[in-house]
Amino acid sequence: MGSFVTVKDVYKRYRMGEVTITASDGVSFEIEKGEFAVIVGSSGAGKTTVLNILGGMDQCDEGTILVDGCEVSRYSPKELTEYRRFDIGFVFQFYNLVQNLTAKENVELATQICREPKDAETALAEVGLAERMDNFPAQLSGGEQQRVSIARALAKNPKLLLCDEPTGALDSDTGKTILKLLQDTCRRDHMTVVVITHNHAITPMADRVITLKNSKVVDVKLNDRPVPVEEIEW
Amino acid sequence: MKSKLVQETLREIWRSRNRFFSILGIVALGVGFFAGVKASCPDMKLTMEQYYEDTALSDVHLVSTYGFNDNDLAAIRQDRDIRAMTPGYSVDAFVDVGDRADTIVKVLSLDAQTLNSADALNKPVLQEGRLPEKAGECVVEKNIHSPEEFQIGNTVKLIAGKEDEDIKDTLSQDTFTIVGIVESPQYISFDRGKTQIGDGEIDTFMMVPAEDFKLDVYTDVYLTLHSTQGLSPFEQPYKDEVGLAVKRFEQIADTREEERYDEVVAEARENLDDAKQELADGEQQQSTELADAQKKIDDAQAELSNGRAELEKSRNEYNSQIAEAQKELDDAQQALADGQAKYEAGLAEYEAGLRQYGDGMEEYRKGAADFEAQEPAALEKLHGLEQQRDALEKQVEDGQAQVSAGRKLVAGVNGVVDGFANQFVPALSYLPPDVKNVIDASAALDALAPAGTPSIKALLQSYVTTDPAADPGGKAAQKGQLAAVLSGVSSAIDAQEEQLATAKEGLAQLKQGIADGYAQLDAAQQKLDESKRTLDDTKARLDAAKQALDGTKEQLDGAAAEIDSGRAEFAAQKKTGGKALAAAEDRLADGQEALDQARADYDAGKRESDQKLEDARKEIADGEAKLADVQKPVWYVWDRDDNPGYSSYQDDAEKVDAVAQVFPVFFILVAALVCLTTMTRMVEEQRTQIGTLKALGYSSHTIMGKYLWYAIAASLIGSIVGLLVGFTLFPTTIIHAYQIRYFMPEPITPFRWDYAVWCTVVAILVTGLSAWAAGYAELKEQPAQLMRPKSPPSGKRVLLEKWTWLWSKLNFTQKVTVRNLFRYKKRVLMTIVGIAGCTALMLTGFGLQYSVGAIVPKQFGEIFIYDAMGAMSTDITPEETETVRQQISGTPGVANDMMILYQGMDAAAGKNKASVTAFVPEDPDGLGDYVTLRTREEHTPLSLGGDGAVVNEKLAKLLGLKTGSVFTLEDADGKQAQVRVSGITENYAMNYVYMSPAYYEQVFGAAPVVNTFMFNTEDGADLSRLSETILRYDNIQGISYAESSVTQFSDIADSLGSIVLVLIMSAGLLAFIVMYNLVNINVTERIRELATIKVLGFYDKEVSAYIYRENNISAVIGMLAGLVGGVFLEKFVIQTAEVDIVMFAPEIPWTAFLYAGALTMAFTCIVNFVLHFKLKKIDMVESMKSIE
Repeated sequence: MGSFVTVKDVYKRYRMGEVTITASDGVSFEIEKGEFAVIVGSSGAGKTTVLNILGGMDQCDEGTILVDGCEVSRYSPKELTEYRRFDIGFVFQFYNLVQNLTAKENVELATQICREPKDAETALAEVGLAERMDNFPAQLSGGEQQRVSIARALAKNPKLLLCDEPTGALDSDTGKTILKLLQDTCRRDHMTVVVITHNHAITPMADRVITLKNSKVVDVKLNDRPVPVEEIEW
Repeated sequence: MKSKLVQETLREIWRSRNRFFSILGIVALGVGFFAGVKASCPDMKLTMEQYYEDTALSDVHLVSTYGFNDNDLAAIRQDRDIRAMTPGYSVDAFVDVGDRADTIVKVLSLDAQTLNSADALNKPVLQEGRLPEKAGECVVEKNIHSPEEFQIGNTVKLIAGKEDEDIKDTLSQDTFTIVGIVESPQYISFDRGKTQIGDGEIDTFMMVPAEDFKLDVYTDVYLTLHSTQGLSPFEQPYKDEVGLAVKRFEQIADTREEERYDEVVAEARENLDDAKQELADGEQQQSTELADAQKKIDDAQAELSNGRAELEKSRNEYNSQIAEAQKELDDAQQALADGQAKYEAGLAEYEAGLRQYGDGMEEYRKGAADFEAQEPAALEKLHGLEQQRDALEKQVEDGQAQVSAGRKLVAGVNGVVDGFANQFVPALSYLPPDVKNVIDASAALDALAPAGTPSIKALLQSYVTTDPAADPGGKAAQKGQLAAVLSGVSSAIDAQEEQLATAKEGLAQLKQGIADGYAQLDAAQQKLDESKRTLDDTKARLDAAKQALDGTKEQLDGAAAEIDSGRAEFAAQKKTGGKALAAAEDRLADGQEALDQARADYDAGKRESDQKLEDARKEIADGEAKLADVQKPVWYVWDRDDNPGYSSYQDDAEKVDAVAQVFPVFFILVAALVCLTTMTRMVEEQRTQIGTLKALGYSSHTIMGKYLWYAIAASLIGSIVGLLVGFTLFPTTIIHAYQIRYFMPEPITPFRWDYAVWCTVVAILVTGLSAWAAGYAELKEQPAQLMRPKSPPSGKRVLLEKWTWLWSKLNFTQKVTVRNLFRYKKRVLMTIVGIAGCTALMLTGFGLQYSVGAIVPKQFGEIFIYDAMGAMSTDITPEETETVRQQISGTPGVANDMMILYQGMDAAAGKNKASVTAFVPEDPDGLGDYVTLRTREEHTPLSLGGDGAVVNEKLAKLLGLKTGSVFTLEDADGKQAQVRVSGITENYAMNYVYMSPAYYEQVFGAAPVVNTFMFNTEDGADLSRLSETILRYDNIQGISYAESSVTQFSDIADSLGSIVLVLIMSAGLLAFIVMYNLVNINVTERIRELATIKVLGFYDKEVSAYIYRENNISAVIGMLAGLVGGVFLEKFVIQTAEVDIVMFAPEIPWTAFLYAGALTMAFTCIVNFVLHFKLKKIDMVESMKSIE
């Protein structure tokens, strides 16, 4: 019995004309259920590739990806869509809210397509936006938009919450509240959360820190005693 | 620095090549369509112009009813404007093809010598083969009416058009060999003009060398003018020049008509005088010649009578001799016949005897055979009987002997008994031998004694040995016993004897039978022998008779031979005599014949000369009459308008131009709209980049330059491509469509610089301006603002949400769709406008097709319901009119007919003028059988009363008339009348003013004089035969069937149909491009949103549906708007495209709506289909990018 998420010897190459770029070069790591994992690396280290592959947005060329016992790496495009639909919650750096929908409707956009979703209003209440659910994204601050985005991801009751630089577009205070929200969700709901970031400052709060460099995993560190978000500074 | 931007521009083009090409494509389509359709009319005209130029089509065509003599030609040549002049010949004739001669051909002369000179006019265009080089050759035209026999190498036989004429009066021969197939610029349509022969319609033409014409005068004169050189024949300057020329030639005509008349009259007078002199001479000659001939005949008659009397005498003599000899022969013959008959009877008798003998013989033989066959059996039977007889005889003898012996024995015994009644012997040995013998023999009697009887011998022995004395009683008893026994024996013997007697009797019978049998046999034999003898006697008798007959036969044969020789002699003599007589007779007959011939000759000669004289007299009389009645020649001066097809070709070309007024402009507009949207989007997309460049210090101009160049490059290349394709494609397609109706060369489609330049300029301006406008809006902002992403239009609640009842009914995705539609309203509006435009175009196209297509069935199926119309001669007298009326009514196949006044007039009201036809039926109430007068919309019937005229709708529109309006009507003589409109009738082709005779008289002050008749045919009438019949009547100028008009108008509808098809296809293509382009922009603009929902796990179908819904709604709204707008567009186009003489049916059928709507939706579906794949390809990574 392996871990909740197992990534093993994953290779991903892109052909750009005559040049082949190896974006993932034998990446292997594991994440346990309910862990708060951070994948950290500088720009071009291959974080996004890992995220894409793990999020079912792309397929790897070689290697195995197991999520909750399912071999995602062997999924067909159709199965990948279903994987994204039912198993993955995704939080974008730029929130990616549909401008033309209210906060609640943005959450509903996700809930209407999956099985056993959370109630949209509950999800929004959980991220502390019960009051703002009828506002359009343009009427919300960045942090609020990101919270809507998180609510949208969580409302699906995913197996895995993937967050792509969730604080990238936010100031540090707002960023912290977002991270706190993610960490709380992880602890409270035993949600497996994977945060991808270039920001090393975040690593102390994670249960597991996976460091990527030059498309390879250079370090996997388990943190016995994660630091609460409030104590982190950047 | 600049080069960097150029490079950047080029790279930008490459990067966004889809967009670039879509701008390029839409510009190409818009410009190509606009320029192409615009160029179609000039190209059509140019093509025909060039054709006319190449073939040197005459400007003016002169025809004279007398033909042109040298004086006429000289007079025409006086005109200094003549550039080239060619006189020629022509005649209308039938082509003899097998059993039918119903093809009418116009035979034109072809002057081979001048054909290559500068003067050659109306040069035929060789399609196949070669031109005629010597007499007897011809070239022909192949069209749908040409007979199949019109093939190179075949010969054509011509028949004169009128029955009393001979084609050889006109042509030196009537048979021509086809050496080539040609077309002529004189005939560009299928119409070959009218004729006065056959059914009145010329079917085809042929050209023969001019030297094959035998006419003294030219029939036609063709000429071109200096003043028209270089002018387009379809433009007004040309028409003006030709109009002037026509007037000049008409003046020449007036003079020459007069002079020619005088010439003709003088010539005729002279001829008449000569003829009269000749007649007098002839009369004199006739009387002397006839007297001579009569005398000769009388002499011959006398001679002949003598000969005839002599012949009669010898014939009588001969006849009596013959009769005598004949009688003698007949007697001998009779005797012979009698002998013969007798002989025949004897022979018959003999033969009967012989047959009888044969029968007897046969019978005898049969009897003998029977006898022989039966004899052995009979004999055997007899022998059997004899044997029986012998046995019986022996039996009887034996019986007899037995009886006798018995009796003797009984007697002996009795003797013994008696002897020993008192005696005895002690022992038998004592008995005397005789007694002993008797006793021994008595044993034989035991057999006769009854059974149980003691043996007689024993009894006797005992008896004889018994001593009577000793035993008297015993002795007596023994004696009694013996007596009894003996008595029994005796009776037995008696019985035996009796039996014997019976046997004897049987025997006697048997014997008698045998004797009879033999006797019978003998008798039979005897009888046979006797019949044999009789037969032999008969035979002998017959042989004797035969001999006698043979003798007779010989005698008869001798007699017959004698008769034959006698007869031969008689025949020989008779023949000799007969021959002599016949010879004499022949001589007489010859004489008679000669006499008869002489008499016949005399009569014939007399008749002939009488006839000749009579003819001469009649001719003189005719000549006198004709001279008195001689008509002035009439010259017709025709310009190209009288060439079939010329005017309609111009009309058609201009109709295309009318269509080009509206459609292409619309195309350009839609194209501009799309360009504007696309460019705006492009500039918006590059906002950040613009900001960066601006921040870097580039001037607004430089930055703007990139977009301007981008737009200009796209529109310039698009224009060039569009022009190159459009200038060829559209004119070619349209001209090819018209080639169905016209004989014309391949289209000439030059690159038209004027159109090209201003189309391109407009295209560049439109795209450039939209680029500039978009760029200007952005560049106004500060770099800092530009660097930041333009906040996307924020979500807004739409008005609809206020209507909570409906809003709550919508499901989530429907809500999104509604919000999105309102959010991107500019683009949605564009889509709607674009689609609406295209739908409107398609609706117009389909509507136009109907409007034009409906003309024929409506005009000729509902309005003009007469079958044919014919014109009468212009100078017809009322009496002649009456004759024509009766003839027409009496023509088989004509169901009903009516005379009308049918005359071209000019109508005017205020400044508006129109050419109309005045239509005055003799019987306004009966007009309904020929023409339907009704309002178009309600079909309310209109009647012709005394209070005004009914005019057609188009005329009312042209002149701005309403019921009750008054307009001026001017006839050809310049007489004017004020006419009040009493009704406006439905009508599609030409303009008509219908008046009752009463009203006509009221306004013109004179009763109408009918000049035209119209009629309906009976069902199944043979039209060409009918018109042949009618054209043979006097004073009929021509006849035309509604059917041929139908064909003509159908052609128009067909050719317009293909233009409309081009329109519809282009509009459809435009719709597709517009929608694709706008949808494409929509997708690009929302790519992040789409990528996001993909990441959220939307299936491909769901992602497509997300966009489709918006798309489809825009399309449906656009379509509906287009259908509404199309109604107006169609009305507008129809008004623009209509020519003065035609009204298009203004209704739009529901099918047009259906087709236009369905096509729009079909294009929407195609766009959606293409879009699906595009959406499928969207990379989810897009969702991760930062907002630029």
